[in-house]
Amino acid sequence: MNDSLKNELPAEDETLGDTDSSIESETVSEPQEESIPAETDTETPNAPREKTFSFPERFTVSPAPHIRTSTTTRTIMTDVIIALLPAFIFGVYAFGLRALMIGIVSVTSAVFFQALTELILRRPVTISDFSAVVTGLLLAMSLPPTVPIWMPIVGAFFAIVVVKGLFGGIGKNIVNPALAARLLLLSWPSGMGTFVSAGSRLSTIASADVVAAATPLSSLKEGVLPDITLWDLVFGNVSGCIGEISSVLLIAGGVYLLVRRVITWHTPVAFLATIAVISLFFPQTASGSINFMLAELFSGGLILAAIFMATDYATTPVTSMGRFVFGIGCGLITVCIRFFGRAPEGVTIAILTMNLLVYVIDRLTMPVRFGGKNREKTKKTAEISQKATDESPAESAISSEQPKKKVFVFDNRLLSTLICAAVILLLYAVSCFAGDRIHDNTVTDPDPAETNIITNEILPEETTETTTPETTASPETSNDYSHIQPIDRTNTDNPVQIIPGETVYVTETEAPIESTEAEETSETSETSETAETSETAETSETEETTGPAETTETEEPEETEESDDTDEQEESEETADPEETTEEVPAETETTTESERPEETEETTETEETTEAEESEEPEETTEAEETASSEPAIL
Amino acid sequence: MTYTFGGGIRLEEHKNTRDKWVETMPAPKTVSIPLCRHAGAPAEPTVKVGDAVKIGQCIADTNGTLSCPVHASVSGKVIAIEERTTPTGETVPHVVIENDMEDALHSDVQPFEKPLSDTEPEEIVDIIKNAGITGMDAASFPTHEKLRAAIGKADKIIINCAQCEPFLHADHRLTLENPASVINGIKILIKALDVHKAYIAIGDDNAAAARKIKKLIRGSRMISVCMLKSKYPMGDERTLICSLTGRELPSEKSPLDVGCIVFNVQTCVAIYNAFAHGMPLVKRIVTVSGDAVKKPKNVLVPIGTSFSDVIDFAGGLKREPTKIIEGGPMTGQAVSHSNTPVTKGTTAILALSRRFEAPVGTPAACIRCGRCVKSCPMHLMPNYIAGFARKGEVAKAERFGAMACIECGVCSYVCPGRVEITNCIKTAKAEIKKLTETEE
Ligand code: SF4
Ligand code: SF4
Repeated sequence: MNDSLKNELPAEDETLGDTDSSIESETVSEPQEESIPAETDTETPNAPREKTFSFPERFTVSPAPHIRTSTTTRTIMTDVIIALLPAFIFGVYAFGLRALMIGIVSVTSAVFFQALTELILRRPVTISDFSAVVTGLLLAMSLPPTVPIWMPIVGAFFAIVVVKGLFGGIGKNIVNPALAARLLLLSWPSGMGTFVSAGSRLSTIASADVVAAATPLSSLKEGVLPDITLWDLVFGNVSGCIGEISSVLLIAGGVYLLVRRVITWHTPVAFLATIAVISLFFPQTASGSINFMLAELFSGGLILAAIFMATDYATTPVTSMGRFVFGIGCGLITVCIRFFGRAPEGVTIAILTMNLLVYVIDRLTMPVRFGGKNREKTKKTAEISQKATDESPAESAISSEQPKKKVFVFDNRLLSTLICAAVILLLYAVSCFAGDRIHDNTVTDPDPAETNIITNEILPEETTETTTPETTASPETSNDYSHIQPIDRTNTDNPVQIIPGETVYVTETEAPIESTEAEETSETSETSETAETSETAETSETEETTGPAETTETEEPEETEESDDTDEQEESEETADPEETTEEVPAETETTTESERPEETEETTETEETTEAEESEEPEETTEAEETASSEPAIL
Repeated sequence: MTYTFGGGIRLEEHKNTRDKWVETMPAPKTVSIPLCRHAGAPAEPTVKVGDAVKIGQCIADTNGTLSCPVHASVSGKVIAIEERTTPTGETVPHVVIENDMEDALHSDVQPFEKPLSDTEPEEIVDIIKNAGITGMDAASFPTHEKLRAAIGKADKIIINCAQCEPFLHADHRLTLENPASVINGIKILIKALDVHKAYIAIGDDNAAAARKIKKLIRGSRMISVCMLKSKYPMGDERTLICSLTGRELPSEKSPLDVGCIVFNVQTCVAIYNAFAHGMPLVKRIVTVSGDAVKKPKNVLVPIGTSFSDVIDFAGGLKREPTKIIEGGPMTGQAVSHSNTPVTKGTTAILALSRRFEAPVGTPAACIRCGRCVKSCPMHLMPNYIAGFARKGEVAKAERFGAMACIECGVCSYVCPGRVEITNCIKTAKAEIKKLTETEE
């Protein structure tokens, strides 16, 4: 081959002379072709006279690049709002003006708190990027339409000030603000647990007479498929949170975001596919697995969360593979909670947990650098000069190398990511199972009072009965009912008063709610454990990012961290020992969050410790008390 | 079949000079010729103030490595040799020549007599060196040095006609209007490097030029045309080699390690001109464009012409420019004043008005959208690197691959949070370099 080429080189050289002359001829011919530019040439002398602008003395000198895409944070947020609105409007249609009011209150207070935080922290006010609107809207959409009107305000405060603002503003928050706020609000199960069926138009004023309805998820939890058609489930003729009921409109919004390239397909697809596959193969209900899978997919906040919350930029990985892993992790944890946990809904916790792992996932799924070792190996064989015979063979030689690009390089990093996810999952499974075991033990206890409350028939009478003792009950007396207590508490606290005639609903709705609450226990303690490890790492970074100039800031995140932790602790403890009536602890939670003074926090923990001590006298409770006690050192 | 690489973005093209014939600009009244561009020491002036010079006369000679002789681009009188600012913001000696409008050629400008087949590679390199040819892109690396290093190492030549930045069409026009000199330039390079294969890489938006070249090289087994998918940054050396050969060059390796050597198409034509006409590099094709320019066009400009003269030739300004950019809008340098001279590496002069100011709105903040990660042609995580760079953690930035960055500007372009990522990384790179130097 070499010889032939050697022979060829002179041959081509000789033609150089020829082409030379051809160039001469071309340069001669060029002026003719340039007849049009010649006209423009004659125009140029006129041009300076028309010139209206002279050169300024100096120009802006800025680093390259000098052009930017038209996409800004604001356009992205606008797109998200556009994508969310149909589902929200459907929620308003289904639940009446009250849903609209909750939305408005939530969005307004989110924007207000955003501006307030930034003014106080002396940062530029960035409400015009609409990110606060998105947070507020997402929060409203993940609340049931019956919540008291102060709840979206408290939620917005927590989301914007604590979760977002104190961590350094947009893009620096570690967990999803709307979901974190929702988790906080779940501490008031009375407000968060009453669902009404779609079509029951609630008035704007606090609703006195609500006909509560079971959500599809709560019936799934009980092992039966929801008693509605798939059509209703998909189109949103179900009970649930304001924004989560119409899966079709949510998916339409997701498609819009995909088309506008605001989100990528990785997280939603991985998230939903994981759940679909697992529920297809391990149906929890007796009837068909396909039906179960569809019911799992379209009930609860899964679609809303998968499309809008699990794709939140700030709290999800930046790499495509990372997003995929993130989605799978979310799916697995959700399934774990839905199947084994006591709460019907696990999406919130799942996403929040995965949020904490984002930095790890990012590190582990870092794209293989250009020319990195993995590529080098596969490309070694590519040599175009080997086939320097003709144009087309050469091209095909090159092209044959192109399809070899691997989408996923299965290397150590991916492996360790998976191991990481597996460990988290294992922890979840263990904690969920442990929770269930304790739950089962207590339930099987031959206590007539308990069984009475649990069984549906006797409940109407029971409700009124148990309410009275409960409100006045001293800790000791109520210990027996510790795990079912939230039912009673719900009744006492519930601002939405139940009309005796309609108490039937309690059986269906309240039981899951109670479990939501208790479930939170194991999960929250779990979360905070994992939170501590990664949070400390991440928070230190967040603090660094704020820079040395902003000293006020760097101090404050620490404080919040404390109060954050105590929040979580309180939540977990509060739920752990049902001794504490909900009235007390939330009130304290609020004060601690707002005032952020260490003294009060100490106080709260003290009081809780004492109650715990009292509690542990009861033999049945010891297991649970020990659980919380053992988990506490980790938290602290 | 078009070649491409992973990552990168499609940019709005701004084709307003795409179909404009290259016009020859009449020599301006004065030219100010810089004696060096980026790397290396400035050339030593061989003329004095008051000397009469002619076109093509050597006015400064190399005095060491990485520098290049400089030639007069107009005939006239040297009126000053003084320090001035180049487009890149450095202050280097310039030779200022007043044009006598005679356009007299210097006697040294003589075609090389020997036929190509009898020429030794060394002779070709000498011709190129004496013609003062540098890479006619922003880097301006002396071509003779590049050739010398490549003799015996390179086994394929890649001619880069893939001008991928918006506004820029000078290389496209050159390939379209003068394909024969491109091919002759390649033949000279093939001879100088003794290789058997040369690829002309053309973007698929310039198919007409590709057709012309294909017609000229019909039957040739040494030269072939490769069509590239037009996306940014296709014209970068590393992405170009990756697209064509499928081999990714890590930052610490040079194209020669995979046997490739890349020449800009204008450089290639300049080599041909030096060989066939003895004309040193005194003119180059520059795209004059931008929304503030009245008649955007491609212009053949004598080196040393001031930017304002070139813009005046293009009809002047139609609105107030906020920025004058030397080079493309993605990697170009914003110059500080309008009488900056055209150098051997000036690919374009863009006058951009306020309309091109990036829409900002809110203060720059990364929202972690992942766009930069997705489109970085070097598969880096620019958001993390920039974050570390801002905090001064250069060690971490280096671990995340800061040194592999080719400063293409893609990440800054796509960033919705308007973070100056590229600039942060540039700063970090400079710091890392400084650190490693002090360590050594
Ligand atoms: S400038 Fe550097 S980091 Fe940014 S996209 Fe280009 S190569 Fe990647
Ligand atoms: S493109 Fe900008 S906002 Fe998006 S991840 Fe990169 S740096 Fe952050």
